Amino acid sequence: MRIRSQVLRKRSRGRDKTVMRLSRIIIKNFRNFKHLDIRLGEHAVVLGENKVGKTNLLFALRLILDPALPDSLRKLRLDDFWDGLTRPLKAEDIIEVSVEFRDFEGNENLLAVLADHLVKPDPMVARVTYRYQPVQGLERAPRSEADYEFILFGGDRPENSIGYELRRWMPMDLFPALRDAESDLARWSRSPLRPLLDRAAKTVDVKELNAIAGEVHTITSKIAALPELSSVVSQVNDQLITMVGDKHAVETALGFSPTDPERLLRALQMMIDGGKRGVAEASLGSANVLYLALKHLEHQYLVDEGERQHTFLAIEEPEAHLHPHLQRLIYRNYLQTRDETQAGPEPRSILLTTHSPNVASVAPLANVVVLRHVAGEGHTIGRSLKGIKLNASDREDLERYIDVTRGELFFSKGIILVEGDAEKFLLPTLAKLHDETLDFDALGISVCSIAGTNFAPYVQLLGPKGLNIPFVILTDFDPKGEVVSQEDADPDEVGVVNSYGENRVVNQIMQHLLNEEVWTKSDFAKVMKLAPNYGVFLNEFTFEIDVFKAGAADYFLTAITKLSTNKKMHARFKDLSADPDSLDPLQFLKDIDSIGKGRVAQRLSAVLVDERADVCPVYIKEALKYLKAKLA
Amino acid sequence: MSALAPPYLKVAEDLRGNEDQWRAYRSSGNCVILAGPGSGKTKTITVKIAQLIAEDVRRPRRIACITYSNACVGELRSRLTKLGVDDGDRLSLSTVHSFCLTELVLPYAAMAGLDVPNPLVVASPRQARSLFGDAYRRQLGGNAPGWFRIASDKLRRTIPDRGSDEWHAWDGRETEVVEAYETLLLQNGLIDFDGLVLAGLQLIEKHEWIRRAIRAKYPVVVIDEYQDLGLPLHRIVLALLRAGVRIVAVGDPDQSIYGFTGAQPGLLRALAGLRQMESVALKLNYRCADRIIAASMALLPEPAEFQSHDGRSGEIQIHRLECGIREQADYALQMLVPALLKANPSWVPGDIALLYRTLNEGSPIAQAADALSLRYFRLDNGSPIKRTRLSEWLMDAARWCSGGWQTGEVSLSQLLKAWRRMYRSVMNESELLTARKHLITALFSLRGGALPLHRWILALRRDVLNEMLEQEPGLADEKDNLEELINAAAKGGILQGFTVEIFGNQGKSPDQLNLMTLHSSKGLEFQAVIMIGLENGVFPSGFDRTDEQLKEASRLFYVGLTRAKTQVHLIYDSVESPLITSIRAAT
Repeated sequence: MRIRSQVLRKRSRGRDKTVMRLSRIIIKNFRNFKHLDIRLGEHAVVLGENKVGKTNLLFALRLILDPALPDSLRKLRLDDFWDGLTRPLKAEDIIEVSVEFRDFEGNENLLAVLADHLVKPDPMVARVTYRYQPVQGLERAPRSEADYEFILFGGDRPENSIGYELRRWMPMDLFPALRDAESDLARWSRSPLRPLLDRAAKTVDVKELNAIAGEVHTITSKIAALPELSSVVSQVNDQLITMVGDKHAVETALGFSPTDPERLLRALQMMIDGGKRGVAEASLGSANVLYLALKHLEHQYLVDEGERQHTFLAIEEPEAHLHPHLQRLIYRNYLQTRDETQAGPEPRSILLTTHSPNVASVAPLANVVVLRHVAGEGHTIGRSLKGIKLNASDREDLERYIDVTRGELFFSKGIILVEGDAEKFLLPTLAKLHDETLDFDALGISVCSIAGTNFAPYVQLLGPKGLNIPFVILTDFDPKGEVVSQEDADPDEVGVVNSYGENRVVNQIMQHLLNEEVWTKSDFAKVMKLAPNYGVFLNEFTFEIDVFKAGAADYFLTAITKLSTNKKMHARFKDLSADPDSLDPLQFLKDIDSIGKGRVAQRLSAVLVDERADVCPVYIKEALKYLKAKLA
Repeated sequence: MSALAPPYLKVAEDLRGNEDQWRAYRSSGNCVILAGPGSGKTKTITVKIAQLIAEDVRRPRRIACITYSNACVGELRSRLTKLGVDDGDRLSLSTVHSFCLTELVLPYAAMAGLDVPNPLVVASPRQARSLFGDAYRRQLGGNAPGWFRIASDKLRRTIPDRGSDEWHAWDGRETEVVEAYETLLLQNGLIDFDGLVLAGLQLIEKHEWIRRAIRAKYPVVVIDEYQDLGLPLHRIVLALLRAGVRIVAVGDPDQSIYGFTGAQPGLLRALAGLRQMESVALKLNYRCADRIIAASMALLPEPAEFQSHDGRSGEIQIHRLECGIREQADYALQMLVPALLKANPSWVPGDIALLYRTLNEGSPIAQAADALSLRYFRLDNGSPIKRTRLSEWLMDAARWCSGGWQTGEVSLSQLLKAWRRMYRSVMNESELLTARKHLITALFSLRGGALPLHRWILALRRDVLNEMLEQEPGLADEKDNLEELINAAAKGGILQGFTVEIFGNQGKSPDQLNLMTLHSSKGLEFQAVIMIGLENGVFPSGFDRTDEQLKEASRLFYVGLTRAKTQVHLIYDSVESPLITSIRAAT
């Protein structure tokens, strides 16, 4: 039987467009967190490599928000203290998890739940804290787990204890990484379909249901009475009696479903493909989509019926169950900002943990949280993009840019920002041939091309106020009067003296890297001088020319010869190979452009590898040295 | 009606026959219920509360119910329990002080930048007295007379705004001492009970976000005994009303007898007169016989129209004895009481109350009863048993220990719940479990009605109470009370002969005669009331000179009269009180 989709009742809630959000998480001394303090947007997409502590972060939240977590698990163990604390633990060592909520003022029910836990009045901010600490009144140093207890309290008042109530009204619902959606869907007791059907069943006319049950019974009996089938049944029954005797044997019969009206509904199954196949035969992906959809509806019902006010939906590693295109499709939809939705805001926050660039690529920037292991210190820190101030067009640029292939940005340990594809293709080779320890993949270094746009938003994204990931910028000098490689935002050429690149370094890049005080005190020349200290490196002309001048004339010739059939061009490059000083930059670049910068770079890369040639220009060497030091 | 229907629906059917009660029950907005003596006030308001919880306020929001004293809280709680309404989850039942403490000052004072001690420690009455004495000495020199303290307390409750014109216009001697006292409290890291209410008032009047928070938590606030609650609470109520909180207020301006604490009968009338309030007067008096109703109405300047319930005529007798209080008491105890019991075989001594104005009458009356070896229950300032949260709990515990554990008349679970309400600060489960275990062990080991009270209470203090009183800021006043009770139960004290059983049955035993002040008799009822010492110049007293004071004296007399169902005896020496004169025509 097929379930027809139900039209949801119009929600009465929604007086206010704002929806509560989890605005901050602070974790101290818990597992791999020494001190994590992150601010969140409407949702949180938590990115980080394996073992960085994504599951621990969710568990920390479960301590406060998950009503399904028993108190026996809420009582932590000594192993849960951060490893960096010296043992034996001192009395003042405590584990603490605090979460803050905002934007709940418009919902009086939520305000009723949180009003006793305010820490800021206008706009209201509520805080709830979990603490694992030595038992109060213990007059000696704690020795064992028996000396510890946990408390949960609201506001800044440890005596303001919090119990089940809060978790009940605004619960966290966790979909763990290793869930088994197909079997959950197939088993009645765990099926997310059950609460939906139970609700619908309440309104089914009992008489009608009895009549249907009667019909089902009649039909089932008819089928079972087919002689071929009934003989199967009697064989089974006979075998049972021979095995266990007639006292213990169960009498069996064939049927499609129990005929008791009450049980009839429970026997209903979700079918797919127009009713041809059961859900158990669905692909992993579709079962998970179905599972999410049903949960979604259930949360909606619970809120509509006043059973809860908000849901924190935590989904671990959605990529484990979904094809990449589904990942992007579903989570782009889930994570869309609230003013984008037409149906009005949903009383729900999504918390995703993932190492999928696919999911990362669709997350609105304000929702991105990146967890990173601090090498050498043995703990994990987090950065969120909630706080960075980008204007709307920069934000849009970045979000468009961080598409699938470049979602790896968030997972990098170090980043090299470059102007275009040529650098992107060639840099790994130049680096490896210059210094064989510089294996970008092994080191977690990504080369990221801004594709002729603007460095400023990337600097903000990666800089100390954003993700705080070590990065260098390689940019072109672009002498004034030459063809500009960038769409520099200086149409009036104010500030451009003899180079577009210098203006770019000072006014687009360094402005966001220097603190206010240094910025106002320094003149143009001073800022230029400071740039390399901040990882910003300028070449002498433009990338290809600087590589050429670093001794690559012969290799360019080899590459061009293989790429082009233009005899005149071959001749030009042959001449250049014989006399590199005769370079005409304009013609050189024109020739490369005619083939395509990317293609040239790719071929040149192959040539350099074959020849084991180190032709790294000085500015790139310096940049690599800078980055290597940062990553050490 | 189905067996599964909540109990209040059944009781609500009883209200249907009484037009006014039914109107109060059906009211769906802001409402003032003016409830005269015997009008079924408590029944009406408890059913109303049960209905609000079941029908009007959805979880997670709750109802707040605020009343005058801990005794009133206890009374409401036990009545609500019978209706199946449990304090806690859906309802917050508290006094004004504890409402201000837990709902306003603790959660919001620091955030609102209000100058209150941190951590918040509530001054015990002894600490407050001593600091007030210091403030008086500092400002005016010498020791503070008792009346000055009372006047100053009243001042704090009637002019809440320091720095207002009204405050500056007031007698500088009083305002200076009050200001010095409040500064001293703060310097010592303390706040007193009145300070809590004043802080609560400031918070709620000044901050829109606090009003929003309270409205979200408590969309309906019920206030009982409104006439006794004074200006600060009245202004809190007005602020809540403006913020959109639904207010249900109950009280009787005619029974306002706490003017010396700052209560004003006019406040409830003013509230009832507001455009957005529905005002319902419960006119039917189920308690008093016709003549008693008529006499009591003669005392009121603007009598409401009370209707008698069943047409019993009743009796009022006036006795001119030409003798002092002690002899008046002897006459009442030796002549009147036996005669009443003889004429009414179904009555027991517990149906009769001797009422009086102050301790001046109470002491000789108690002596007279002692001389006759009568068993009695005494309720006045001279009584070693104050009606406080702790003493009420101790009496329940005593009843449990002296047989209640077998009969089920007092349940252990109720005792534990009430204990938990006093002992709020225990936060974590394990600590709470340990404390509970101690309590239960102590109670089980102290079973036995014949145990001397002194031994019983000392053991309980050692095992359980000390720890609780040390840790609980809200019980600051109870330490002194417990000390006093223990002294009274010790050798040579007034209660030295008391056993656990006698203590537990205080005020509950049918064979104990009731001796109490008029103030303490409020809310109670008896078959017969005997009032003693109604002498001109004594009641109203020579100090009652202003119109307001005289009116209050007559309200106090009104309260006394209306305690009686059937008979009233009024006794004086030789010149009758003008209060007697004013009702003569109606007798």
